[in-house]
Amino acid sequence: MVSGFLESDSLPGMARSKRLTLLLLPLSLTLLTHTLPGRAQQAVSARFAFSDTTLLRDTLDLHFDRLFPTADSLQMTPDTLRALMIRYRLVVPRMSIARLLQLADSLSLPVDSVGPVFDRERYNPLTNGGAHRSLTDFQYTSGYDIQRTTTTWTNGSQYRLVRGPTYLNNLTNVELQRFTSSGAVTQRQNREATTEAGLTLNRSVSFGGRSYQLRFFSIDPGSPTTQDETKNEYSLTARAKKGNKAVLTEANLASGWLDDHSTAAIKQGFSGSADGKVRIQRGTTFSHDLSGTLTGNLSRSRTPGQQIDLNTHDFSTNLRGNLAVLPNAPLGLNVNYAFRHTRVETPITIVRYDTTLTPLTRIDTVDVGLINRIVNRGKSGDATLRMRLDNDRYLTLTGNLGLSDSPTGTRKDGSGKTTLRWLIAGAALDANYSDTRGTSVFTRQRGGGGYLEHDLSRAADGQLVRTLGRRFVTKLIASIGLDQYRYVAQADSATPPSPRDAYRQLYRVELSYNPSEKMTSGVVVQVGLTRDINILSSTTGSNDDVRSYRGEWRWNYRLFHSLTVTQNNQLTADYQQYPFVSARNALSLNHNTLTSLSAHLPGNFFIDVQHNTSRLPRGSYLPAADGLNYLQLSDDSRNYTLSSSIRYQPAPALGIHVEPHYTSSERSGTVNGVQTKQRTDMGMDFSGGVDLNWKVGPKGQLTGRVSRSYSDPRTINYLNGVGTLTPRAETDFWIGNLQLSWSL
Amino acid sequence: MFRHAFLACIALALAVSVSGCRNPFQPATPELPTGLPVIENFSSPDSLLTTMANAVMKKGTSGRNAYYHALADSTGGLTPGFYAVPYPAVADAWRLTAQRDPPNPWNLPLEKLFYDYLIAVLPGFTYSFAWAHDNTQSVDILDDGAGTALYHRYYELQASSADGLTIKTIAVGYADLYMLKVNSRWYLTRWEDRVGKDQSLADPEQRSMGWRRLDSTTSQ
Repeated sequence: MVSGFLESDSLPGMARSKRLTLLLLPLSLTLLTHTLPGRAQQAVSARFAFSDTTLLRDTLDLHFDRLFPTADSLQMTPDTLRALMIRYRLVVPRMSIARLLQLADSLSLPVDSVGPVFDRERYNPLTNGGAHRSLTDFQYTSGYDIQRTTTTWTNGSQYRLVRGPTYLNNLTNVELQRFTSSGAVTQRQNREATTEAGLTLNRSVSFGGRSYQLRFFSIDPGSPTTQDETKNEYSLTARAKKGNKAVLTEANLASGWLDDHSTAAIKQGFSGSADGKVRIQRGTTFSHDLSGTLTGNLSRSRTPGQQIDLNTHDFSTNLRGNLAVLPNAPLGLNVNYAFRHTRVETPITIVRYDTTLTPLTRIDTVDVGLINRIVNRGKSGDATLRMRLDNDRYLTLTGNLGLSDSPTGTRKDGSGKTTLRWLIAGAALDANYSDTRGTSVFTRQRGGGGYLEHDLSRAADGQLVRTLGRRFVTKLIASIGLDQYRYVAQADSATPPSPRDAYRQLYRVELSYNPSEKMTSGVVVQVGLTRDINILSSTTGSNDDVRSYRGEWRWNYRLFHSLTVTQNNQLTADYQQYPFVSARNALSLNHNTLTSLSAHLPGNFFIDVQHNTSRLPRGSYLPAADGLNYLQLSDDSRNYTLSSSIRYQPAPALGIHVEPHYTSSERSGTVNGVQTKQRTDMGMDFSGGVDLNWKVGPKGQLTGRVSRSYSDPRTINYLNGVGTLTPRAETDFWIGNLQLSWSL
Repeated sequence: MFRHAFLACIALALAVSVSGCRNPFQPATPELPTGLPVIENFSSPDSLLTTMANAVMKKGTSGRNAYYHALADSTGGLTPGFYAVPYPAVADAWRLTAQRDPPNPWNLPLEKLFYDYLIAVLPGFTYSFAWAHDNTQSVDILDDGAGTALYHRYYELQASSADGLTIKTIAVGYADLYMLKVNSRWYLTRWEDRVGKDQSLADPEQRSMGWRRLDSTTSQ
């Protein structure tokens, strides 16, 4: 494969060999899989043989069984699924992957929406079929976060009272922030409260009233204006929910009075919103979800400081739908569509300046009685046809179309994608091909825009994973991609960017060796090429090709029951070639070794030590006396890092951490063949403190971390070989965050 | 059925590969460049001045970068900042013409803006910039050990139209150029501009670089 890559890099006339390479690649992979031993079906799919199990180490008493297959099935990354579970653990009781999937299925939601919907539905009076009961629920949270230049104090409360058919909900959040920069203090204060009270008439209908208050206050010494806003909204609300498993409908209405004083405009008038959801399901053969939102206001508006009131109409529509046909059958179809439209109107004022003075001096602000209307529109749709035998054998075909329109321009795009996943003789094959095309129109404004951009992006990649016997796993990866950008000027004065292509290809071979539970090892060889291709003669001088060669060896050995060593060695060479200016050709090398020691000592002591060394020589190819170009180093950097993390947990509620970190780097440069030292950097950082997870009374919890951070970097600058040490610049400050939560 | 479909897909892919159809990942063939980018060479005072001359003649991004890189930048901590000083008689004459005071001091940010102005004085023209020894001054001073240099130069920037029939002088004059060597690399730290005894300050064809610098502030 490597030789194929090198051949394909040759210049004109090599198109045939490229096609041959494309042909030979799948053939060689297929032959390889057929000649290797151990062709029996694997108990666990080879696809997850390279899964990084460090993701599973967690201390929050959560279990991530079948994390990788589940994430793969949901088409999300494992760390995203893991992060969702950690985030939702406070909202969803008894959190586990199975529980999360069960809730997503039950609520007909994607898994990343389960937490917010679960939290929101607690305050919906029609939840639990509007059953009349007696309930008092109160939660209070206060947090204080201090960083070097920022402090944030948050206070929030959630109150829920249900007495028979009546209910009262209140959500209050207060956030006070201070930023210090160059001796000046910037303040931002945000206070929000939403209160709703009402009556649940029956299982399907409730009425009530809602008030919303917002107070935003800011002081920024560097800004001549503020972003202050005072907003009050009072509305009558109605909720309705009806249906069964076959047909479910929900509708929420709110209408009332708006009073909004912001720096952009003062708006007073009627406001309203309506949102609804319809779900139709026919067993496992068909389901259709349609949800929509309408919001708007009819207001009298004026700019602060002006007298003339104008009629303004703000309006926003959002409609989304999903159609799923035979979602669990071997042949299934999934269609999504969305429409959105927003219109915001604000009065216009004109600021007059005296242009005869330097600098320009503001005279006054004139109210011209006109309205600025900003409209954004968009519609999109996609359809996916899936032919599936099981999770390891399927073919999907996806197509989508989109159109968006905003004051800065319009964009139309369309794309198609094919995904193939198959098991061939115990080897897991993944192959993707995508083709995306778009046209953007950049409106001529403020000296820019005034042109069309046609873009095209094609990509294909394949991956083959196979276990060889009991101890070896191989992974072969190949990918290729091309992006193209073309421009058409629509105005005489327009200056569109230069047309260009970007090409990339990559081949990678990984071999993992797992002789025992105590030891694992692996090697990686990777070859890549990226090409930046400007088309026009005025810009092609900067075209360049970067050929990257990378080798990696990693091993992991458990020395004792509680002591593990891991080392990762990498060698990288990037050859940067300028096809039209060979005098600028350059080479960058990188050798990096990372060694980690991880120990868990008796008495809840955890020690992690990391040592990293890297050397980065870089040079250019310059002509020598014999007329040939030779590599000459232009600079050379050596970097060393030693860091450790020591944690001691004497009790579940208390943890102590100490984290020293030492760095050192040297940089030298070469001019006219003479290598001279240019700069030496040394630095010592230290952080130490406590972690708290304390129960306060029967229903309170105090959590957080408080640390002291110390840093002392020094630099020596060399001038003609003589070093000058920079003055000491120590920094020493506290950082931390504490959060107190209490519930009734 | 699916195995057959899969095999059909593989067969189709192979057929497409060998059929000789257009490679969908074939990038466009770029045009040959109209000119080479400026090669930056700051290894000696002479090569620094040559790089600056090429930067003015080349124009474009490559020229702009080379011109910027020739100038000392105090923000790096290794060199003092760059300053340009107009000839006093030129500054006085420009003050009368422009009815405003010249910017003082003329520092690196102003010089960077000046480059963009200079290459746009006659946009469609080809520039030719030449340095020559200034015979009206004493010899150049070069102290390689101390890393300092003072060069006296006569300069002339001419522009010729595409058909070669029109040739205009954009700038002409003399300069005392102070240079500093740091880590074997030379930087221009100071440009003291002068005009010749017979040079007319009123003639637009005899503007000095100092005058052009001041003129560039009126177009910003």
